[in-house]
Amino acid sequence: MKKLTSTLVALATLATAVAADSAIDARKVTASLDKVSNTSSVWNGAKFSTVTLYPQTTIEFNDKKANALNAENKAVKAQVTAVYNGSKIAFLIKWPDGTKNVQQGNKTDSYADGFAVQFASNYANPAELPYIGMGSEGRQALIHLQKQVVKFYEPNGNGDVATQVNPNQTELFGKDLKAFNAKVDTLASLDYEKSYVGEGFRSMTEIKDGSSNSQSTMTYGKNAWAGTLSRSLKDTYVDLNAAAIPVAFAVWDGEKMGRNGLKYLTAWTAVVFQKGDNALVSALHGKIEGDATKGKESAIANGCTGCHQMEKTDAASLMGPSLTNIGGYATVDYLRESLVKPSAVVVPGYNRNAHSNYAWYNIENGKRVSTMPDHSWMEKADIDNIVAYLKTLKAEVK
Amino acid sequence: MTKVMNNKRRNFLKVSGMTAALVASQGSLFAKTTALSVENGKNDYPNTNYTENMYRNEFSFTYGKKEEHGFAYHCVNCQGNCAWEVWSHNGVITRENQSARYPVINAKIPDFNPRGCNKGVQHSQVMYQKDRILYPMIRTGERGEGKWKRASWDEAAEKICQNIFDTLTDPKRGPDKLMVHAGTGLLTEGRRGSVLRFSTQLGANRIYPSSYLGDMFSGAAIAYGEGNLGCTWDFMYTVDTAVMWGGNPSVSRIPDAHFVWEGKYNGAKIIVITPEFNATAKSADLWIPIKAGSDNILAMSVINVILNEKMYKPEFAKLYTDLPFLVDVKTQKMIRRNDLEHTEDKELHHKWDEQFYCMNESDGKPYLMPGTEGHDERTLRLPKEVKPTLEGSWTITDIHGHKREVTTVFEMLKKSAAKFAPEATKDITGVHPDTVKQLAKDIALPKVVEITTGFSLNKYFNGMMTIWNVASICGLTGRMGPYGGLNTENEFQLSGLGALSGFSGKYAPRFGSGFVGEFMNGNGMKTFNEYFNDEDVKRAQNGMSKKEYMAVLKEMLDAGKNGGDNLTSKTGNVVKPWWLPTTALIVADSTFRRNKGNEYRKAFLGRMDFFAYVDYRMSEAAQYADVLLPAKSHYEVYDLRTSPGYHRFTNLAQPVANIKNVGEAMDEWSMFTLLAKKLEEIANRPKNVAKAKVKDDVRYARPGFHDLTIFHKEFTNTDEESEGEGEVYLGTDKMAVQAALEKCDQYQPWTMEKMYKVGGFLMINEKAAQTSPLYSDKPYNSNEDHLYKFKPLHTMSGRQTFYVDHEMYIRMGAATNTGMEGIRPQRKEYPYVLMTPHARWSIHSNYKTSRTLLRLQRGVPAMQLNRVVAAAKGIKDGDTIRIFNNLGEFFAMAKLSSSAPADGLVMEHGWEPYMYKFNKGHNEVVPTSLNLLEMADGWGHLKFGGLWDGNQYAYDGAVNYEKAKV
Amino acid sequence: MSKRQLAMVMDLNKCIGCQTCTVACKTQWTNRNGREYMYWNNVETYPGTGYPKNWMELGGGFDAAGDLQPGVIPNLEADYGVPWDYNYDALQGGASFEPNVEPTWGPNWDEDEGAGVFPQDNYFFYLPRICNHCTNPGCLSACPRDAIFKREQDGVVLVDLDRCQGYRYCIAGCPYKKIYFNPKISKSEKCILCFPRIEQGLPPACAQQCVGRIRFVGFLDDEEGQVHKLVNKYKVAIGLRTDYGTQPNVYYVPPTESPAKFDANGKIIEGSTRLPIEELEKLFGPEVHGAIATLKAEMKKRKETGESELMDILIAYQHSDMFRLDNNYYQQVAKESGQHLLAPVDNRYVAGKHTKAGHAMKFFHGGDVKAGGHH
Repeated sequence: MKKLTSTLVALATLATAVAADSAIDARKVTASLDKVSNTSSVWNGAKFSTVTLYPQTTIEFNDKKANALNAENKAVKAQVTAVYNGSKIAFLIKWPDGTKNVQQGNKTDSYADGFAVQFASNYANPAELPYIGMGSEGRQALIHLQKQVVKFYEPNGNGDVATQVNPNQTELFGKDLKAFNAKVDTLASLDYEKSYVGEGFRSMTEIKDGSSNSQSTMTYGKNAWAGTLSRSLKDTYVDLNAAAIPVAFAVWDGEKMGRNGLKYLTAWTAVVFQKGDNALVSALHGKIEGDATKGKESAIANGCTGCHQMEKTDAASLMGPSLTNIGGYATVDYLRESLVKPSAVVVPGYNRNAHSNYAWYNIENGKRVSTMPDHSWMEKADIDNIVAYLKTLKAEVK
Repeated sequence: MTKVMNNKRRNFLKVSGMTAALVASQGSLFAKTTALSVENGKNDYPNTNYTENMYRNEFSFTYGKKEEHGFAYHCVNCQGNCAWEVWSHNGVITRENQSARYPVINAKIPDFNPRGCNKGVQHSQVMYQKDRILYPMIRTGERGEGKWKRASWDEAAEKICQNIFDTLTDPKRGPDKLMVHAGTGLLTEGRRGSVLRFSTQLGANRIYPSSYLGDMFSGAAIAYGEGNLGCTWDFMYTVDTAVMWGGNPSVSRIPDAHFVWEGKYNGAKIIVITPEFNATAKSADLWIPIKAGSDNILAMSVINVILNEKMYKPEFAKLYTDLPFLVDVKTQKMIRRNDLEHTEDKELHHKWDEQFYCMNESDGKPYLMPGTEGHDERTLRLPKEVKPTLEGSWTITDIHGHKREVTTVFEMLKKSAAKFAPEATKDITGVHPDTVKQLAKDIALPKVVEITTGFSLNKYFNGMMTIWNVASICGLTGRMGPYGGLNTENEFQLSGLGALSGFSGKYAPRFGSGFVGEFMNGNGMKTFNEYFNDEDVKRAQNGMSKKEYMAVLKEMLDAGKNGGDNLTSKTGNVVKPWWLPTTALIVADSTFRRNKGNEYRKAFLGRMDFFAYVDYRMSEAAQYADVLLPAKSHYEVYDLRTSPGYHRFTNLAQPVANIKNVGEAMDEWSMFTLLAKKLEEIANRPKNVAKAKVKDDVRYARPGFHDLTIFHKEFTNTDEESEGEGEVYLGTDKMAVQAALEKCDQYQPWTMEKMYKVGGFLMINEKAAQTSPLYSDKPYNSNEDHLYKFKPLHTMSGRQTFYVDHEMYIRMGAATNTGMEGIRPQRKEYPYVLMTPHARWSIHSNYKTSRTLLRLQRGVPAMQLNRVVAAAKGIKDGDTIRIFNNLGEFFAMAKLSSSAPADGLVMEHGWEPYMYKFNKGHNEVVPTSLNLLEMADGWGHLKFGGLWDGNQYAYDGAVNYEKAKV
Repeated sequence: MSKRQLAMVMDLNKCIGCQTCTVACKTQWTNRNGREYMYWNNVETYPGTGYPKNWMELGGGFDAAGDLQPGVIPNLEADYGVPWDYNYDALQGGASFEPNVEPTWGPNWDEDEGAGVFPQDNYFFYLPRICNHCTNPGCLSACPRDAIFKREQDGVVLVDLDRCQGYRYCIAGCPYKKIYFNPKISKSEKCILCFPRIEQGLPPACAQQCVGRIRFVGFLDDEEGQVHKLVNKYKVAIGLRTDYGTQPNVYYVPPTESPAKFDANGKIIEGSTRLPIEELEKLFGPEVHGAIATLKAEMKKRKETGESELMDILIAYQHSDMFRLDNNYYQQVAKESGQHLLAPVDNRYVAGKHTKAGHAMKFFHGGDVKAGGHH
């Protein structure tokens, strides 16, 4: 603990932020990307980029055991590479995980390892990318999720109850019963792969109508997972035909009861198709202006800690999101926007009933208005300093 | 791949033309999904339909079509008998729901809805459990080895009927070596009739279930000449005091328990007398934790208080009881008319033997009481000038000129009760004298008091005495009809059902004693001898030594062998008859589960040359059968069942529409008709036809023989004689129901269609009443006719009996009510009584293997142990314990409880032996015995039959326990 | 807030612990498809460990400030108990009957055990529990997806199974542990108050099939209804552990009836009761004192005068009177939302604030007899 605290202090006092991960270069291939796994030849000779996934700590969830397990989480480094052809793009991500966790069909408290890849529907303005956690209002995100769930049945939506009855509750015996069980078994999904659109975490909506098409795999070996995702460059949700696109990755560790926000998350990261000057790349991977030390002083002076937990040593607060890892997964633009236009993105994923005395926002004329005061009155330099400071707020790498 | 899971799913999106075009251009036929934003699930949630429709679909599926619903009840010796509506989907039963349509009897008294308990509510689950017997099976390996071959119905019938034919026609065997018997897994007016009919027609032996189950109210039979009496349970709502003596209605009378608690809200005081703290005790006003088996002594103590504090009702006693009858002080015999008058007429002499006297206070002379069994005057009404005296002693001169010192039964009772002052019984019963006094007051003083005796009381060696004593408390306090009284189990009267099971007297059933039959079947004497010592017998049988007891018993048993002395008696039955069959066809009776001791199965199987068994599930008995026949269960048949008398309804079983058969299961009527056909076929084969008229005693076959060549015709009433008499045709379960509805007076004017329409039941008419009117708007309670119309009871005295001058009763010091300690050994190495009360989770062994219900228990047999005692033995909850005595041992899971007494172990009974470790059931440590007072026979109304048999006891085992080493 | 709130009252004096409710619920909903271990309705012996094990200590609910408290998700083996099965088909082969896993815990593990010293002061009572369909549900508040909702028409709390992602925070958030994870479908499920039955005129299975007749179902705002009278008029029905802050809508008539205690000599301690008032206060809060006083006073009045509306209600002369499902109201809701609502399958339970017509029963002997109205 002592070591950790001193590390955090050291981090916070850095004058300039640690450089962000670099962008990912996508390699064009001619091979088909229809069926991709981690052993596909398409990855031969791939050059991997390192991305860092930070423990998501914006909101503390109400699972006592999980919170204890995740209290000291450190950041995780993953290796990513991407390929594309005329119609599809595929990613391979490898991340360390000491245990393979498959969510069982007969346990109430077993959780899956998994990963997700997030795309922004609109990334024309790099300063207004969707909020990293499943987008934000008016800024739609698309997510492909793959989890290790042994097998699952969708609850009946088709009026089909006959195959969901208890097999012991049928007039079938012996061979007939076996046949029934076998038939029901074919209805189970063995591959927990889902796609979602979202404009904020809680609006996350599963795409069940086939309007997004993807294929992903997960393979475990040597204390690490390798995940692949292949999808169209263009569908009704995103069009990835550009010089560079923003993506983000998340991984879950079932061992630590990881699910939903209990995960590790990268910031928006650029995937570069054509090298050159690119606004997106510089927005996501450029140099950070400002002086973090001054920023910290300014943050304290402005009372940020009244509502936000900034560093792990600060008291947790129910009022505003915890910012202890914000530097890891938020972009500079997002942080700046949050200061000067706090209601532009009201961090979703917050259930208003959980802490009714600590409303993060109010509804005014149908719009969510953040209870955080507008800081647009601040000097630009001051804002830069605070942003630089915020960018230092993140766990160390494991 | 993201799968298309559901294309009917609600669409959030209003698809604009442009979007649609875009989607189309990309080859997707589907609209784009948009994010659904929810602000707060507490209000105006936008996506309710998906979930709602899913559950609605599930409900529709289980509910099925209303017009396809069936009705049923579960008649497996719970007797509760409840109307259920059975739901189905496509011919497969999904679940059941109480019909809950019984009409209101009285707007000021709670109705009987929704009648049906935790066991009935899951029959739909059990009926498809994979322990169903699906096909006829013939044993190929050793008995119990589990090796079978599937047989056709014809093949199985051939095998069974050939064995029956051989047994009947073998000069060395004959009908009395055959047992055809329906157990209590099938207690109905419809289906059960098939087995009884088959049995009677063959002259086969069968035994009284209530006797071998220990459910016979012999003590009530002594008192009232009727074992089954009491109230419909709505009466409980109207009482001032309800005493549950050994009863636990919240567990074993579940559909009726609400009347007790509603009665409490209505002002009743609820008293519970049980050794353990149970579901009924927990809400009672007074719980009396009695020491197990000392109930008869507590009852004597209550009698003592009632007498001493003059809380009895002398005027009632004089009119309605034998308490004023004269008794010879020296011989302890009652004074009979033959003592004071002479007749040469043998018949008259016999009648006079059942005529008795009181001392008339008006003239100081003995007065011959009307209304006794031998008296021509069939009323209890006395002339004005007759004033029976309760107290005093006199000297009278008998016909021989001998001076006889006489007193009253009441004086005899007082003398007997004097020994049981509350202070004197405290240590035996564990009940504080103040509590006894309180109990006496609570029973004696209020207007309406109903004392319900639990079936557990008969499970003790001296249980007969307990119920007799409790009945006597009621008699002393004038409790009959509207004033309450003893409630064993009311039984309504149904007449005309003999049309199903009987033959208008052509053939009569060969009834054997239940408790004696099973004692002999299972080598009970060996177990008895092994277990009880001289001291035990002396304590329980008025000082009689074990040696003497065994000699007396042997003599009694010998007298009953193969029907014994009853066959030659001119005065009705005089002994308990028994037979030892060598061929058995048994239906729905887990005989190896219920019989006591460790010898039964071995003895039974050792004797039985052939054993066929019918059931819908693999019971312990099924495992050992030679041939197995698959029966249908309660939802697959047509049937009728009237509760003995907890309520006034008769329920209908009618299968759901287009029901899918389970395997090749067959209803019992169709099955026994098929067997009858086969037996007739065998009898008519040329080599057999000559011996197919099977000779039998005219008591059992009026023509002197059973004619197997027309067996099927007689069985179905298609023989010439039956057709001539216009008997109803029989042959299927549905025909039986129709016949019953047609023939039974009390069912008029109902039809199946009408029963179906109102909700699966009918209301029996006023003719069902036995001893009280069945009012249309009042609960029923026994003996109102006795009280208001002076109708004699079916006792020898015509009155409530306090005195039995049978030789054996005098010998046992039990001519009038007394208290006797039980036979349970009192040795310090076995300090605990094993109590196995009726179950909450099963009806005996029925439903014991229910997955649904076992999950609501501990999954294996579990024993409630007193927390403190178990902890002192180093036993933790969940440990496996070994329970043992010198008879044997068994294993169970320890359940540490604050509700179990320090000197007792409590476990629901009914577990099949195969559910225990090493297949050792709890009866391994339960001895068997016969109480000479129940063996006694041939006195007044105490003559062997459905009223007077006896009980197989279950609670006489003393055990110890320890943490198991397995 | 939903427009109206459907509520249930359970009378603990009348509960006999038979679990007919539990099984009725099981056959209606939870005998299948991943729900086998769930007991949307359970009955536990109190005092006891309960189901799931030690549920009162597993967190969730709100503190006095209204903040959701963290909780623990129970473990199937240790806390709920594995729904063990048996070798049924082996019985014919002569086998012993054995559970496939060693039972170590289940929903009724400590049945009838109670606490105290036998026979002086030992006691127990039964505590039947379903989802409380809270006004401020802990599960709903814990769901980061807002995928749990209260039905506008009756306040029934449902999991939106279209949107639920199986995160299980709801389970941690419910202080009653009455929402369950269905591992087979990887989503949460819970008691739905049998709304599909209610919509078609049948009360919830646990309530209609309660043979002890302890359960009343009706809308809280239906002033003629028993639920309203018990909760609001007489205030003898109180929520369970209202200190959890979820505003439960299942109300209990606290147990008042228990036999007197004995002293060390086995003598009755006159006027004593085995039910420790502290325990009742723990379960039902300080309001329990008033409720007990009212119940005792009304019982006394009944005993002395034969009158008491409260006793009339609790006795419930006619079973069908215990339910007021207001079918016209549901029909109206369905009509307004353009849904197809089927006609009631049962007309006996349909009365209510918007359904004035009493439940005329086609009576038994022939003629039509208007049921009810005897209070």
